[in-house]
Amino acid sequence: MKTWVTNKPVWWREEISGAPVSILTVGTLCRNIAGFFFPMRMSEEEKKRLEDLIKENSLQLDDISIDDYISFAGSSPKENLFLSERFLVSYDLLSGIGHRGAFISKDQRFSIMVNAGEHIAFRVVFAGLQVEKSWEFLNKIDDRMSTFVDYMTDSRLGFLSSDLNLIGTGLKFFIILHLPGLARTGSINLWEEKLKSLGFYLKGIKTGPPTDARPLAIPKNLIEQGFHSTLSSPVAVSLIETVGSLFAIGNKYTLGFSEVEIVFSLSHMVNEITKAEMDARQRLLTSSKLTLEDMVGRAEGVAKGARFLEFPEAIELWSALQLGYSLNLTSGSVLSLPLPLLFELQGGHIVVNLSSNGNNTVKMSLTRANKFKEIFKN
Amino acid sequence: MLCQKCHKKLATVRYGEVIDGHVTEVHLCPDCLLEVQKNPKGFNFASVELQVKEQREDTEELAKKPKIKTLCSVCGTQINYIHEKNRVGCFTCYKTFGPDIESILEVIQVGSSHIGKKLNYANDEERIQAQILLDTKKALIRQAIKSEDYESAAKLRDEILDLEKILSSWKIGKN
Repeated sequence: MKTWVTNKPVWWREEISGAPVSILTVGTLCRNIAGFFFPMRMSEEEKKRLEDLIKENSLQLDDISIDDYISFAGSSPKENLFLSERFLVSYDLLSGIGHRGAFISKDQRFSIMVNAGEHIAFRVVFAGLQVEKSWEFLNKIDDRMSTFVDYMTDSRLGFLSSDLNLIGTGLKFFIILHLPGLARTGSINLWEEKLKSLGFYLKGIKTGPPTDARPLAIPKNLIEQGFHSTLSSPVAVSLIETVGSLFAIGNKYTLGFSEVEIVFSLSHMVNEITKAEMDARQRLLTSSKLTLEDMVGRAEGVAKGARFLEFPEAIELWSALQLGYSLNLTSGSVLSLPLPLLFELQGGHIVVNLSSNGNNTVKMSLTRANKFKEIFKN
Repeated sequence: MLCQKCHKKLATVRYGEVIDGHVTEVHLCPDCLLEVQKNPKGFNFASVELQVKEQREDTEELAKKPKIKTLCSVCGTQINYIHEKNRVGCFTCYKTFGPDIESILEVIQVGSSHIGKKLNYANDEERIQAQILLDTKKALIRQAIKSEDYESAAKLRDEILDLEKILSSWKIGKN
């Protein structure tokens, strides 16, 4: 079994106290190399040449410890689905065609994607709200890489990209937020408008891929039981369609804002929205305590007793329990759900550990229910 | 309309041919007309409505006007594709479709110039720090203006101007 399957990402162990509003921060920095067409216009030979160039130079990045290069060319095995579900690679890389792949750091904090829409995309993942740290990390790697390769730049437009949505800084952040308070009070729509005017988006999280394109080796129903991302954002839907009151906030623009402005403003806005969420939860507690107690109590019952859990149901259950923990409405000794649980409920994570027919929906639902049971067994 | 043969130049002539008893009519540019007249496929029945004077005027007018490019000469990406997908194929696309890309960027981005990290100065530590400071102040001034705190904004503006002067005196780098 691949090392990235057996090893747990370092950010799964990071301390995020209680039931957090900010679940994780994902930063992506896109760069293109001078003298090459963009991937959509590259021949396979050229893609291979670029892949070799990046492979050769990435090994010189001595600041980070990276595993072997994982090629996504040909049929992507199910293990690669893991990396997309952990947001370590984008879905574009998983479902693309031709020579492409990624370096994954040994601690699974960082990846370098090659030919996933742009020539290279550095990605970093932190638990909780860590926009500054993410940028520091990406900036350092970028500086180092820029001494090895010539980036495609323009004196006025900055770093050039194939996707015009990435031109300029090439920097995209998204933070996964758990906002049951704002969702239930309806204030979430006001935030969506406010953030839009400041250059950010607030969207719901969608399970499954952004497009119908998928690797042939991976069944459709398996891909749909997980969270995925593009280079820019997680796969998103409108606010009302979201699952488990999970939302994503991120920067819409890469041209006209500097990296520091993006980092500063985004952190500020997430702090603001966190405060608003905590207020909304308290308001809910005052106005609808019985309803909340009923919801959390039922969730506890299901978590302890259910034998089968479908993916969307498990996410809703996770959400209700986390809300319960944050408002001290739960009855047991468990204080919050561990961060890895949210990832381990996904199809790709479950199927890789199933011995026989991995596409067995019943077995997967059983495994999912058992994961909750394990937490509540004491 | 565009020439139906080369699909590049403006058609100024309606050209008719009789092939196997069927009349075929096409709109051609002057260059393609000459070529077709040299190698006719069928009987040429007097090159319908050949208005030489008008044609010359049109050609002159066309030469004055900038040519509208619909295809990147290097990577072959079509302008329609760029408008539809907001994606370009190569570095030359940026040069070829400059005005079109500018118009797209006006819609999908907030500014027209990159104001962030400049690669050329990556190793100039002092400059990076000054830039970060300046960027931070610019972020602060935006916030101040949004929250209508004009007093802080005015103070920040002066600090930004000072910092910009310092930065401009350090302009060094590869490019």
